[in-house]
Amino acid sequence: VSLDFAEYVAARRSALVRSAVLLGCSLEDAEDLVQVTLTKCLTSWRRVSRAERPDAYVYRVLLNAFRDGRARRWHGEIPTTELPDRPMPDVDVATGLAVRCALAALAHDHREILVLRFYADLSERETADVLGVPAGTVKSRTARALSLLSANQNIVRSG
Amino acid sequence: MLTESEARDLLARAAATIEVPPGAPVAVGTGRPRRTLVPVMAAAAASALIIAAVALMQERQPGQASGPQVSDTAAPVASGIPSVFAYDADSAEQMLTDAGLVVTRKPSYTCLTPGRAVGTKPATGARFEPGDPVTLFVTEPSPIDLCIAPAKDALAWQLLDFANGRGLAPRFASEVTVYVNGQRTTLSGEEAADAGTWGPESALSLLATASRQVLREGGGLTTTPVLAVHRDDGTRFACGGSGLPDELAGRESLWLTIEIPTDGLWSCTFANLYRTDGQIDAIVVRTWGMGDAQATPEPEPDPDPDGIGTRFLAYARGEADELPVDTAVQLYLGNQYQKTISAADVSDRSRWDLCAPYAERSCPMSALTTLREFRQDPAVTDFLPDACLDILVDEPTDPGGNRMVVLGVPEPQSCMDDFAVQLWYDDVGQITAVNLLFGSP
Repeated sequence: VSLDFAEYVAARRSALVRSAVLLGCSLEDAEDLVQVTLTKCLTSWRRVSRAERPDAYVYRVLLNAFRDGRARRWHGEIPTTELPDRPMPDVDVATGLAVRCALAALAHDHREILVLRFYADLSERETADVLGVPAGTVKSRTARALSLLSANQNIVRSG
Repeated sequence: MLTESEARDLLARAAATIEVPPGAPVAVGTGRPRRTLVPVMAAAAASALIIAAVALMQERQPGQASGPQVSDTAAPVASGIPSVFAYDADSAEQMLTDAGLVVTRKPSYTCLTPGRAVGTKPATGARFEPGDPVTLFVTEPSPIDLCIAPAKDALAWQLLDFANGRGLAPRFASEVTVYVNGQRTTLSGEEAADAGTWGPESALSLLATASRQVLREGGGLTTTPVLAVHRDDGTRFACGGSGLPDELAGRESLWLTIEIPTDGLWSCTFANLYRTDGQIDAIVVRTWGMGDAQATPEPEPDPDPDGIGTRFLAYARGEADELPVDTAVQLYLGNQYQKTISAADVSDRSRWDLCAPYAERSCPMSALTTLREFRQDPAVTDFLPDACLDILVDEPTDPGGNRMVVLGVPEPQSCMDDFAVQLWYDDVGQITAVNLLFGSP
């Protein structure tokens, strides 16, 4: 295992797991999914690590694995996430959970684009590459997804 | 509409609610990939996913409810380890012991009220045999002084203990006003301090029910409630949508939520506690979630996007006389704002004409004319269909409505054949903005 890979895993594993949960995985499945993703990336890590943004490559692998897993599931449902059963005092739990609830109610396309653009922080071009769609589609789909998220009355905007 | 910066903030908040256990460290070797290991790891991980998926499918046969189930039970969960949510350490240990488990306490260092049970290992729902060991995690102050603010949750736990018959009443004022999902009642201080007088559908009963909920998923997974406690300044209310009573507006309260958080389902009970001189004089309880039609406002039916698109097409082609519009309609060309026409002017087709250097088209350009001259049935989608379209600037940031439908060319032969008419509309289906886009060479 190269040092770069170990560094990448140490730095990004949690964010990848959170991304997978935001996409609709349970925490348990998210950890499996990230393990599968990273294992796949390891085989071509030399190429991945030379990419301008390794994240974009890793997220493409993650999304493909996620979609493969989703396709196998009953009616496309993702199991309910398992969350900690204790309060998290430093976190705006209510807003965070309201956002997760709103994400769960969105179509897969919209959910994916919000997670990739605004949690994984991929650019429009990188998101287009990950999703395999034109940049214009990313732009319009993002607007649509933001509009739907804005319309959710359970979410209180900061400021 | 949300800005991108706000969206980032919201997604970060959502992610912050996901506690990721630390992963095993990745071994750092000589830099030479151990290729033989990779297929084994990949196969094992993939197998785990497949097995999980198959198990899920086996558990959810056609005709069966596919979603998770929320149960209201203080008893062991399906013969599994019971939830210790809303128990103090002693009562939790007693309950687990009574269930046949051998309990060992371990500290969970937090800045929360000490002496509360926060979880078990194995977790709630895990199957056990009498005599099996279980670790009970109990809040304790951190040995290092990390806590910068006093715990706000003590009163919340006290109220929940009282509601569940496991503790004394908190301090009530001589008169207590109680609102339950908008219904107002008044109790004397003595009545409030006697749990028996509150009744089966009371605020106290709802809090007890909420704290006993356990969500059971397939595969033995369970989720117990989460308690969040905040200070509410009386001017802002998050989560749930319904407002607080007007007569309490502006008063600071302690706002607690008991939530069963899941993807796709969400049960939530809110309580605001109002105090004067440390005594509770008003309680507002609202419930929101599955099976709670009383607290969940009936949503307005969504306007049908296909219907909006079809009606606009009919209007453009002269097959309909009226177009549902807001008080005015903004017109855009290639995402760039051109002008606004009032509702009164909508029927004057010449007011829809636009003229600007755009996509090598000649003036005038009009969404109505473009659709009228298009001899096929346009595709109706909720996104711009391809990358051929000439986009001058970013999408309009304030098109009025928060919903969108697009009429476009299903299969353009070339980019010059391509166009799209993007319609924004509001909650009642009135069009607020129209964006005409053409493909460019």
